Amino acid sequence: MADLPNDFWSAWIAIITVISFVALAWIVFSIYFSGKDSKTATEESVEPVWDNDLREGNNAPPLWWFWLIFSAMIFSVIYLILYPGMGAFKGVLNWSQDSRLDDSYEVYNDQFGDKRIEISASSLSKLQNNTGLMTTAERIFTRNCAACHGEDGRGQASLFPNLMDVDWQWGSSAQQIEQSIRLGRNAMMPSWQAALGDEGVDQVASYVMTIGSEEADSHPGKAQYNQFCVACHGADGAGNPLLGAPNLNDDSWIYGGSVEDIKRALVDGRNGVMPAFNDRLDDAQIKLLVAFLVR
Amino acid sequence: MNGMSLHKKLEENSALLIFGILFVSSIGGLVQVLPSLYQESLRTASVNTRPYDAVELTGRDIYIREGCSVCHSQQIRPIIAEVERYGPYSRAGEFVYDRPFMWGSKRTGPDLHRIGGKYSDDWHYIHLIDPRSVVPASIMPGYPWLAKRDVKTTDIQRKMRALKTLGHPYEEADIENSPSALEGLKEIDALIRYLQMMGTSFVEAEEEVQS
Amino acid sequence: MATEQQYYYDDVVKRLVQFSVIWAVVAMAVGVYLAAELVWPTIDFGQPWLSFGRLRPLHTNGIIFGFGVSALMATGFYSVQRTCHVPLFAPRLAWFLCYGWQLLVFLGGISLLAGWNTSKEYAELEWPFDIAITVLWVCFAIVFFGTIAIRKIKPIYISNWFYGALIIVVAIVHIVNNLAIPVTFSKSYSLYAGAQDAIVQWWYGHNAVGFLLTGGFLGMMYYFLPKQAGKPIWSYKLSVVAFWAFTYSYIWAGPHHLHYNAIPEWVQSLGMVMSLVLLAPSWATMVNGIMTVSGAWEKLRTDPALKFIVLSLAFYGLATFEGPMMAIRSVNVVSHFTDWTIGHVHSGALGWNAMITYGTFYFLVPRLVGTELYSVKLANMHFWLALAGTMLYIVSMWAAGVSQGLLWLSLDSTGELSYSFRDIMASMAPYYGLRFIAGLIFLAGTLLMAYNFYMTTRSRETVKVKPPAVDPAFGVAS
Repeated sequence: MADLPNDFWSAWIAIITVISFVALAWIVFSIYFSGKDSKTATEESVEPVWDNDLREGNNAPPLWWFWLIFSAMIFSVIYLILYPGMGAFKGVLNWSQDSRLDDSYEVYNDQFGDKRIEISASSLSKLQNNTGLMTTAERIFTRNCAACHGEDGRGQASLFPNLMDVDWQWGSSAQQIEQSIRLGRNAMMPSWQAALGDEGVDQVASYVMTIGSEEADSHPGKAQYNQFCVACHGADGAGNPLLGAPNLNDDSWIYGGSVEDIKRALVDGRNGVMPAFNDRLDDAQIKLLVAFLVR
Repeated sequence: MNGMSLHKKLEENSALLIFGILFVSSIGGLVQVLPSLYQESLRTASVNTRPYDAVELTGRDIYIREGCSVCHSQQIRPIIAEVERYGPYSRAGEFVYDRPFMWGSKRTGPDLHRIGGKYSDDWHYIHLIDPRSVVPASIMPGYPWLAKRDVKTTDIQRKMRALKTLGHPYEEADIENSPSALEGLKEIDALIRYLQMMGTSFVEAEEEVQS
Repeated sequence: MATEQQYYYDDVVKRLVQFSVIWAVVAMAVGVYLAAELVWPTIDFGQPWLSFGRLRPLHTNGIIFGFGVSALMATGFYSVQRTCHVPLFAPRLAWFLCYGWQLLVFLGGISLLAGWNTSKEYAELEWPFDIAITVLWVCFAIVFFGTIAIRKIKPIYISNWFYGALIIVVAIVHIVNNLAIPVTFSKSYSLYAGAQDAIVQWWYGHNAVGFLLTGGFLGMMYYFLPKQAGKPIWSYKLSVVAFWAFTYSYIWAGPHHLHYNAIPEWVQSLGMVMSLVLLAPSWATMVNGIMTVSGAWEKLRTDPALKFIVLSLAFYGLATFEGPMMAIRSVNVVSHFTDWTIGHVHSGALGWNAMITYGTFYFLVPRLVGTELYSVKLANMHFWLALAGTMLYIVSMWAAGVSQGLLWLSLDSTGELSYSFRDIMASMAPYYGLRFIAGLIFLAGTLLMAYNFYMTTRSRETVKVKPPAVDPAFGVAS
């Protein structure tokens, strides 16, 4: 980032640094090796005394200290020749933060590149049978997915779906899971309050609770369900993974399975968002995650 | 003349001593700080980096108020492990509208510079109110009051005008409309808007280059 | 002049010492509470003002500006009168400063709890307080340099160089760093943005540490250590060279807080090499201090004040060695953003700043009221509590920080990160627990000291002391 607006500032940095560094060396050197008694040269051996008994001792400072600061300064000079420091001068090594990262990615690719390509080309079952890789996959899950889906992947907060059961909102095939991870998902259940009215909400919620049982056929909520809900959730309530419409005739509920929870869904709508991870994860990571999640 | 006789002069004259200290202690700042104020890369916005809108700015000021930067950095270093963990490393041009900077010095919690878009709004909402309800091991404080308080709409125009005088390119219409943009929002909503846009401009720009 | 005051103004010194001790107790207690919050995160009870992000600046500002600056004003006023052989210049201004500063710290602390926060570290106070600090700091400068200007002895003693540098440099970095456009009474926007703001802030932040927590307290050392040991300062030459090398190089070191951040490499490199050079002047003072005591080792067995001061020098040496090491780019890759930094800061703050202040106060308080310390035994207990607390604190944070730093960087055999952030964070729990205990131990010692001082000074008047005569060879013609 040696993009100083002009040479003036670059010279300013380098010249002041060099001059002040030389001045520091001069001060240290001249004080260290000045006459033994220069402090009292004019007053002979009389020394000031402050506050009755406060004096300045005349011991010669230790030589090792001189070498300490001397070597630190020599190191500094060498470092500033090798590395960027003196304004726009890039240093003999031409080192920069960017080049360092590029270099370390080269080493990284030499070390892991083939392995990662191999992972992304592997079959899922082969990955699943490799316990070491599945541990790595679980860690990728912990870093990226657990905050929402829970550390055990069983969903949480009555908001984030369980990934460890057979019931998948957006489909449980490897392709569907990969798509969920890469591109994310946006559920779009609108509010039905206006269409159903308060009574309708009560009846449809009550109907949803009975889907799959015998009383369902004669339930008063059935008509409105078939009018408004059937397009996504299906007549039998089995849902539609292509639309992200969950199955309503089993015991697994994303947002809670009480009548109250269902009423809330009907009133407020449900718009669960799964963010896209295409930019955050590479092919090997996504492959491992899919292998970890698919049954 | 040597260093010692020079020092003796300063030591016996308080005005000279004050001047000497002023002179010697100002060198470092003149070399490091002053030129960097003129350095182009530090004041040129990255592609797609734009000033915060009224809601994001309000959210950012809540982030500042609650001291989030005490535990969360916003600075991904160009080191493989950090890029792998958090995303593309931070560029100076992404921060030109950050007053003050919020890079932090400690990661008691994770870096947040590329947090934008990683989680859903719903997750942030739950997590901010009670972090342990979604991350049981978390030691982050909960911020339940953010969900109760309405955002302040009275000083947003003054804030944006102050930033405009500092060179943030706000349109007059944006400033005029800013109170209505905040209408009806709770503090937590504004904070989430800020979190969700954080670090996204750079990633978007990269995608545009690729396609 | 007939109206000239004959005695030193020590009442204001005593009052500042009292305030300093109070702030030490308050701000350390806040620190212990913060440590507890990292172990039991729900003990903020959902209260905004008890939340970690708001309490933490209160802890740092309370220690630096409450405890530290009050102690520096007290010891600075005490020693500048005695090394200039003259009572304070502008004593009324000194009293104004004394109470004004306490009011500032108190109201500033409340404002931090209310969420007035610029978020710039150690400069969190909002603009009205920044202006108040500037005004009060000018008062500090007038009293201090005024006293030097009317001194009766020609050479200016070493401690005053350091106190002088403290006043001058902190004024500059404070003003430049806090330049901002006010929006409301509680909110302002920094004049600098992004990376430039970062460079300015750490130029400030590091030199608040440098000239306040290091330079100022070195001034304390240069007066009180030779006084207490009854020996001349070991090498005048070394103190001269150390002072100028210190003043020159410290100011450059700030960018080592921004290694590998989005600032230009040249700034980082200059910050790094100057941090290494800085090791030399830092250690010069440590050597000077320890050699000064070297003829008076027998006093170390019996004298709690001297024990504290000598131990503080050991921690000073440790922290000023650790600092340059952490400033090296490749070390910083591991240490940055970790608890190692917290450990480093506390080896300075507890081991150096607090200990030398305690030692100085154990010297000062009995003398101010002309009596013996109420209990030497309690003071010795305090010494061991302070030592144990500090050691436990820095060892636990060092272990936490190094493991954190290495675990964050660790990759497995597929090039994947070996550990999730959450797992590493969760593994910190035992260290955070130990740190909480360490803080409690240290705080307990401070409470013992406060009690000891209370019993020592209770219902006693400040002793009146006259400046001694000055050797005519060094006198100032008046």
